Amino acid sequence: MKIVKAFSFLLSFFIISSVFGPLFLSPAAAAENSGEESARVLKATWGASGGDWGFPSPLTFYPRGPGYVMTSFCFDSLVWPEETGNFTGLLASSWENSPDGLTWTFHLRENVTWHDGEPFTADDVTFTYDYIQGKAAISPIGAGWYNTAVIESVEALDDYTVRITLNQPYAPFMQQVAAVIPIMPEHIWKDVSDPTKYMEDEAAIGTGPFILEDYNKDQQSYKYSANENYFLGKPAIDTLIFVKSTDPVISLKVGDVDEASLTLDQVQALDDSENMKVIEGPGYWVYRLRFNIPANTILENTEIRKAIYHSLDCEEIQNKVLHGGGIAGNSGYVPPYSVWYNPNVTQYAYDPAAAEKILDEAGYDEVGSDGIRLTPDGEKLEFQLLYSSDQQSQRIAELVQSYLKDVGIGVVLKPGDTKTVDGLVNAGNFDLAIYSHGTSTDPARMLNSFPTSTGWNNTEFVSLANQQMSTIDEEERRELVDRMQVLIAENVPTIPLLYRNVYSACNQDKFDGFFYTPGGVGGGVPTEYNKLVFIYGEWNGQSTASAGNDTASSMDSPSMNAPGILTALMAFAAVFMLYRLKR
Amino acid sequence: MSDRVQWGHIFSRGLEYALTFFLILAVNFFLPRFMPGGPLLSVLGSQSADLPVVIDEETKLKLMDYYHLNDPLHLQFVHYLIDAAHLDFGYSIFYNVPVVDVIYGRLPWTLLLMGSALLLSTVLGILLGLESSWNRGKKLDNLLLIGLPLFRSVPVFFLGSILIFLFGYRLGLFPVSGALTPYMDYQGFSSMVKDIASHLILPLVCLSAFEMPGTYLLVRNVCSQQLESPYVLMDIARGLKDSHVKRHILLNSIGPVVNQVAAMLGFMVGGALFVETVFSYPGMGLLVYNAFIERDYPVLQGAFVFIALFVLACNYAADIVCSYIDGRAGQE
Repeated sequence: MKIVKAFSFLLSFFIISSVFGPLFLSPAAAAENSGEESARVLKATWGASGGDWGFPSPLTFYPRGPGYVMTSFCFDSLVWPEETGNFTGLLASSWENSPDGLTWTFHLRENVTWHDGEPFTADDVTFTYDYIQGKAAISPIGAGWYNTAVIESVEALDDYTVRITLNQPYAPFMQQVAAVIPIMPEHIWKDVSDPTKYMEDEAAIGTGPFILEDYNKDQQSYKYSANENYFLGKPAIDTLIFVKSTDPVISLKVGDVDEASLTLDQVQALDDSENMKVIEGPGYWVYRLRFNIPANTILENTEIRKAIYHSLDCEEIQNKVLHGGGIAGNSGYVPPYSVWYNPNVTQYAYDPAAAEKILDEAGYDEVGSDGIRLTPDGEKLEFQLLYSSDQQSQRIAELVQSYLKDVGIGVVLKPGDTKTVDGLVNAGNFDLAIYSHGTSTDPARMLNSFPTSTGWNNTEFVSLANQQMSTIDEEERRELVDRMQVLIAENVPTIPLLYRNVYSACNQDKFDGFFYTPGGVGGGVPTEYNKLVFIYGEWNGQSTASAGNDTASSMDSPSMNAPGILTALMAFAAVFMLYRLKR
Repeated sequence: MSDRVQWGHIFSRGLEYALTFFLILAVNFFLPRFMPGGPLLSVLGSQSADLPVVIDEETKLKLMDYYHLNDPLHLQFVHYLIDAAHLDFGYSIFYNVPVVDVIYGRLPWTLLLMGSALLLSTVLGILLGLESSWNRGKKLDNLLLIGLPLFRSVPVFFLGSILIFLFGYRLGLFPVSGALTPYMDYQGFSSMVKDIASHLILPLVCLSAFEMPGTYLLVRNVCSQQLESPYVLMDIARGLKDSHVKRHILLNSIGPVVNQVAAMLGFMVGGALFVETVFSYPGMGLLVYNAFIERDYPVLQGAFVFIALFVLACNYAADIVCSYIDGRAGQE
């Protein structure tokens, strides 16, 4: 009897699973039949923590690098950096500036149309600059991203000529203004009074190479379609999709996405995928040790900071933390791959003996029973080290702790989330802190904030900073910037520990041509998503044999394995039945 | 039938729940404000932003004013209560849209995930618990008793990672993140259901595996107590089928199980947070997680209010159901 029961159970299981089995078939199977066989679709993912970078419109994206880049697909600025880092004209075809650096004249492209078909003219440019200048105060993006403070006036000389007058010569005008501010259509925005809440479909209409099809805040995804009439030529892909992925490596391997930004560890996990092309670029991302100067009387002493510098082996920290996915910090702060890097600054080699000597001479020559030095008051020479509890900062903090212990300085680790660390540092409630952030690529942004971001107030440095900003002559400016780096290296207001590189991988069977723009895009975002990639890149092969492509990709896709779950379930059921039978 | 419904009990419990809800509103309002790092840090960029943003005091004041951050705390609280009554939780500082919109976009996914996990874990928990107690001390019981709590003791995110690696990557059976395939061309309703179901399975298994052992243990214990009861012995003596006896046992132990399931909802919200983060499932958990990282007060407050309301409502409903099932529950 039991055998009959078992058999009927198995039989009904077969029937049920064959009916509901297709439920477990992956969406890839359905997509294959979707009829869009020849569509050139590139799927990308950016950032594990969040794929949502805000509505891609000039005043509504989230004020981070990816948000700006998502916007740049739809909107063009006057100029744009190309693969070499030089500027090419987008909405401007040529430009010139007056010898005093105060007036910039841009000759605009004719026959450019907005996504809705309206013609683009110089009025749109003057409107945009005025609008952004006027709305900057209520939009954090306006305040943080678009540097309109230097602009005196913007006027249209004729339909295709714009003159921008500055209130002071501003050296990084091209990098920080002309190549950053996205030109918005006047006919859409002229009646919009609160741009921070304007997220209608029209708000994404620009002149850019891609037209926004959809932005889904809940699924954290973007869909762009190619602008067939783009003035630099039709993009090499038809559709650009950004999706959120928990694990970009797995998503790349199973073919859910074709391109992803990665960390070095993730790149190494990709190693056996031959169709993946990995590119590497300067990250302009620094991890540095911040001191509480001038509040902390011990750390305010420059000699002590130098001693700390000598006790740290930045090269080894880089190797242990990034496994070669970065470079060691430079005492002049500007990373060596920057065109502004000055190699002739004071260096602080890893030299614990020198560090100990400095500390002895500074009066911390008595050592307690636990190996930690004592201050003249008999207290321990010990600091709190604040850091945000991500993996890298954690490891760096532990390494710093052990290095400093070697020379007799005690370190108490204090981890917190990023916002807590920011809050405590802003309140001045810390001794030491590990900071990591983007550094921008232009000295005006990279270095000028030094006094506020380190608490180090050096009059010579501040005057150099102001001077270099308004120095138009490249050579002259370089000398000033060199001098600033010398001052940083001499005074050690902060210790740059290491710079992290950026990596990305793309399925080159599908698309090729990604590059990292020297100096970054949009004022310095280090990204492989320079929109020119999609204009000059190459759609590889698979478009000619889209049928073959589908089969090839479905080899890795879940649909081929769908029978697997049935088999597994059946095996499980069989074992279960056998177990029951035995009893 | 109606004499079994205890109106007085329902009313007094309702008052208690309303008071609880008010306390939650208050905690929810004041707690984030005592944490270091204001919301402006997030808006203006910080060390975690890609570009160091330099902003002058005047702009900062205007922003503070714009977001009403200059009002005294108690005034902010009163405003908050009035608005909450209108389901207006303000504008999200991070997303820049009304909080209710953000929540409405996420709520269905959480309800889908938590609802199906609740169903699955409860049904499985009851069935296995009953089976386990029936076979007390035998192989099956020992196996379940050792095996199931194991799931509970493994951190959810770890279990999730294992599932992703095994079933998402190695076997390639299921998608590993999201709630659906973005921008897929659905061929009708069924293909959409398939897509959503295939995305749901891993998070569902993960959350259920975490929640089920609780129900299982409870059911096993309650049923085990019933096993020695005279009515069970009577049933067996009458020669009733096993399944019949089991049903009697189950009906007599369902009260505490209903309460337990309702109480579990609160924990489930916590579990869902991890599960949604691991699987990038776009529900309330992920929303809360991101809002916390960004110190997006309005979203945090809105989400907590919704979650609290949901959990309280479920508990209230369970109370009523219990007082109906077991007349004694309402007589205090």
